[in-house]
Amino acid sequence: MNGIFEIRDYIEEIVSRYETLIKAVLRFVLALIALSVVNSKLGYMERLDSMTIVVAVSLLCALMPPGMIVFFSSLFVILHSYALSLEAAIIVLAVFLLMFLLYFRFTPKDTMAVLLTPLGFVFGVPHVMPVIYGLKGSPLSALSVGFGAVAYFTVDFISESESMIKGMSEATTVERFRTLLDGVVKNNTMIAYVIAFALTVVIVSIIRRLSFPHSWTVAIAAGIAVDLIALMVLSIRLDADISIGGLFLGSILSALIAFIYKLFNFSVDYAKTERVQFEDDGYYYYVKAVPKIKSQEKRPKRTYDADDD
Amino acid sequence: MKEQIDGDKVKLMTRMASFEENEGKEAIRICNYFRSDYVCLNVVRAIVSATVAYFLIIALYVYYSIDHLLQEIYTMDLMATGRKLVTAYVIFAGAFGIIAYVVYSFRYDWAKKHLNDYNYALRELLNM
Repeated sequence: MNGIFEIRDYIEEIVSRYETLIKAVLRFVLALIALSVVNSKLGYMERLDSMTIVVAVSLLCALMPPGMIVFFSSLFVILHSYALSLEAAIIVLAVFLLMFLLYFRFTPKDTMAVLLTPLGFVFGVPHVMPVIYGLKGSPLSALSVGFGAVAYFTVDFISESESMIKGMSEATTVERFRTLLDGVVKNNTMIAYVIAFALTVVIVSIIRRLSFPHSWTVAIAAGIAVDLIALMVLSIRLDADISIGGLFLGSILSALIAFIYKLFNFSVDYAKTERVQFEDDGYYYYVKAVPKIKSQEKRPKRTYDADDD
Repeated sequence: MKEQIDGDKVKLMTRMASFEENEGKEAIRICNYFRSDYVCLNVVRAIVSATVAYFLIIALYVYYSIDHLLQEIYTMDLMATGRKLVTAYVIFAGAFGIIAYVVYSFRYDWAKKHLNDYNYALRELLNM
């Protein structure tokens, strides 16, 4: 176990030493992955579907705030949808605009959920996002993760309806628009995921704030269980297209990632908990001091003086 | 020899660390404004956002139901429909404005209070 904490401390030390550079590299890598995924899923506009453009935009994103990755990814999605059909572009643009106008302008910090939740779906670990947002955010983050799921299913529907849209060349613009909007809005699988993710964020967020030992571990386990059960029930009730095998595998992988997140953000030794109490003019303070787990190497060396003997 | 926890320092540092790690930077940005300027600016922004969102939703609905609306337009009471749309807009934008007023007033008061507490705590810690 000490080996894991040594690796963690080593990584933390490296990150804190080269923080600016590492953050820029991470922004570059995230933008590269996000834009490549958009190009591989949609890729209708030939000019955008080029590695040179993707690398150039990713380099730009590396130098700008993280929100710009969301902006450029959304722009890529809209432009690819436009190359497929004007109606698809209007719907995607409307979905993104409504999300940002009505919700994300109040909580700009949660904007990354619109990018990370779809990436979770693409890499087969969608269940990790509600758990992590529950751990790091508030119950309101349920909306952020829910919108992330809406963004994924909107793009997924546009991607899968390519042949349908091309087959509707005889149809009027309004008919194409109506068919696409129905497909985006009346998607039971999307509704099932949005409800399950929202429930998971709320449960995880509430449990991890409780003051009992191993609350983070319990929150992760409860979150994964709630997510799994909610999706199984909703897939039956709403007749949603959810693979149960994939659900279990994705949940196990998501739990592993959530525990790695916990390792870096909340590793404490409950056995050495200390409780202290004091007061000032306005309050009584009941402080529970739980020491962080450090690797053996990083523990401060104990020095003995004459009084110890 | 067991290390002693300095209660006063823990108390101050608990408060300060919590503030620094959460909303400290945001609080400084918010407190650069006067309260009325900050709240008004954000309420106006929220109403503009709500207006754009409302017209976007209406536009999507009209385009989606254009066939039905064209059939009904001659029998429809346009004045009554117009009144309904305006009423819906006022309620939608008004509700959004009220939510923004409450959220941003609370955010400003919170930032101001905590920034004052933080500055006071910082002076106290330096004097320890």
